[in-house]
Amino acid sequence: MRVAAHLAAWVVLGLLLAVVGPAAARADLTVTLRWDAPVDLDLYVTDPALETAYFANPRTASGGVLERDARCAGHTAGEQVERIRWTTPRPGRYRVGVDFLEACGKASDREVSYRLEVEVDGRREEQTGRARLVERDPRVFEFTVPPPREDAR
Amino acid sequence: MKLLGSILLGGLLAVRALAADPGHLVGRVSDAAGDPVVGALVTARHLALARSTTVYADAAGGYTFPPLEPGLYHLRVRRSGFRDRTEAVELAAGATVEEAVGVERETDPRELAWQLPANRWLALAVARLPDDAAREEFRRQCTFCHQQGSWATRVQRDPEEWRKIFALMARMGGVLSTRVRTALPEALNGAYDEASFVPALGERFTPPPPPDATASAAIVTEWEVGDVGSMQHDLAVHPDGHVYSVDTTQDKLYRLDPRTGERRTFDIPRGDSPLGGVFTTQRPIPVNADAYVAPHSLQVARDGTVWITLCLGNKLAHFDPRTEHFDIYPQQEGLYPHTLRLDGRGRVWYTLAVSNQVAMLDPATGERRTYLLPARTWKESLAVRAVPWFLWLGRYVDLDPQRAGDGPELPVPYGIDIAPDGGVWFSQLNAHRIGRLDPESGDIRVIDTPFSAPRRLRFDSRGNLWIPGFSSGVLARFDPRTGEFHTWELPIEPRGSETPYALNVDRRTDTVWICGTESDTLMRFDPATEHFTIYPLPTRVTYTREIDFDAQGAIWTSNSNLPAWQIEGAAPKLIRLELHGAG
Repeated sequence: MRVAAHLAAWVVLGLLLAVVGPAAARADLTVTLRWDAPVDLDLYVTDPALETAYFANPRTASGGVLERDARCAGHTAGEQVERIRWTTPRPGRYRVGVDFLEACGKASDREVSYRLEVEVDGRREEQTGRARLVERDPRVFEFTVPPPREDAR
Repeated sequence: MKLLGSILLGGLLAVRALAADPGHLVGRVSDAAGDPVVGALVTARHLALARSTTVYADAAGGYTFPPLEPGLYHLRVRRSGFRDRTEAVELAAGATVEEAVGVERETDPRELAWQLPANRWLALAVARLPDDAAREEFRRQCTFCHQQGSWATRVQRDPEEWRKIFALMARMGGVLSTRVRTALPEALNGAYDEASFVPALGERFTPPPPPDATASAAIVTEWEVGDVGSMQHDLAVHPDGHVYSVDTTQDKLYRLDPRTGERRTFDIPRGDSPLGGVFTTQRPIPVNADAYVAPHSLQVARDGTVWITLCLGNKLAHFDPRTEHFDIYPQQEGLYPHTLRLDGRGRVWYTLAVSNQVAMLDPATGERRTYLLPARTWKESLAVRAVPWFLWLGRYVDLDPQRAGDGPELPVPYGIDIAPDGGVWFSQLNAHRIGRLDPESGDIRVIDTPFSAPRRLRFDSRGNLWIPGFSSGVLARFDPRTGEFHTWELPIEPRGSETPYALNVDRRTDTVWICGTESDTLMRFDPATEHFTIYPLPTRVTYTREIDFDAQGAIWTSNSNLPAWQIEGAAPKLIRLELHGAG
């Protein structure tokens, strides 16, 4: 029985590694914007080549992809999320901007709080901020992706 | 810096090699049957120099490059209706490489449509708008930063995404009326639907005509300057042979030496200007921009110094190439120094686009003047006067620029030029007018144009004023002596699909050169014969805003599509067209 349980645990772990592991290992850079108010915030991430990934340019030449785009249409209650991801990010300086274009008909929500998470190769940084309606803050956060380590090549 | 350094070093080495022993690249372009592909654009890109040279295949399909620096080239052959063909060519010093290139016909209608320039796609969208007024507004407001209908903009979006795009563009000044905003999503989605563009552009494929015998003797050289974050707005040729250009989104002045390929970058002082300059609350800048002062237009003075308008910083800059020093002149009255020209006394005249003014600075005396231009209505006048209050108010309350779309439009003084008699002439883009300012009395006379959106205008040597009609797709000549206009439709098909941003007149010949801003072309107009010659440019999404000439008679322009990542190859460029290179 204990052998069977061990076996089952190893099978489950193996499946997890097979399915989740490689995906997680590829996720070298993710920038995630989270907020709770029922409005539409937009996330902008500018790569070291100065191309910006955002809702109107959801795929960049450097591999940036807007994975999650929160919208007014069809939004559900609770946490809202926008996420941009590079699987093999270029080293260099990245710039994060946040915009508040649409209140989704909620005239009362003219200033909302958000949380920003930047995860580079497993290391996470977080910060919070406030976005004002029809005002874009192009520089809420800047960070650097280091060149690949020698032992990782 | 590394890239710039390597270009500089590569340029010097290559020039030394060229001076010693250039290489020669010749060949023929043919199709599968062996027939010549007339008018094919053959482009050799020198990788180390970040510079491309393009010649056109002649009536026999033959092409001949001018002497080229030895090195590794990417050779690309392009002609609408055929698949691009690209090869690597190593050109050794003193060698002659003969490269016969065969190209295959493209048969996929979707791919054929995709090859066509943006103006063809723009025409599909324009045709779906309800009336002429809506079409005019769309062309004027939605094509002044970037091509409309390029690969990056011919995109279907859901209504919410279009709404957000319109809101973003309104921040940049592209403010639409509610009725055009309402009509556009369906028009754009319909035009950019495969069910629409494949039959219209692919199955009934009509390639742009090949260059005629005159045009096919030309050589186009493109130097990559700046980067993906750049907006290479205007350029000016210096009498010493250098070419200066300004980067509106990165606050840079560039200097290219076409003889060596050397590129220098000068940081324009920002002083205490915040990001976005005096418009910091609205921030009418792209998200990847580092625009604090935003250089816009530039001209070389007789003493060899360079004057530059800083539109967001609300200043002028004066650059001395000998000392490499900038002097900055804040604009005390008015907003958005735009296009500038110098008069015969060395005075700097420029439009103030947002505050509906023309201004003058006399470097010799330090005198400065501003002139408020007439508005069409009291509402327009009120809107102009209210702008500074809105800028102030924007610090404290949410101001959505889209709300201005149904109100009176700002007249937007745009192009400016000095007549041979010293009169200062300007256009008011949104008011569809031109005007004359008497520099001595200050008297102002405005004239309605019989076409929409007069943009960057220029005088010829005989005192005729030449004007591009941006949203009307026309070239116009105005004779100030008789007050008569004469207009010509630009020869880009379909008619009316071109949005000429600027023109210039080579006063040595009075030949008029016009930006083919939507069609990746430059156009030459000979006033004596009233004949147009079209020069296809090699890079897709070549958005041009200014033209200048060098001492040898070559024509210069820059590719300033914003954002630059929409440009093929994602590199802004300075472009030279030599008329009789290979022929």
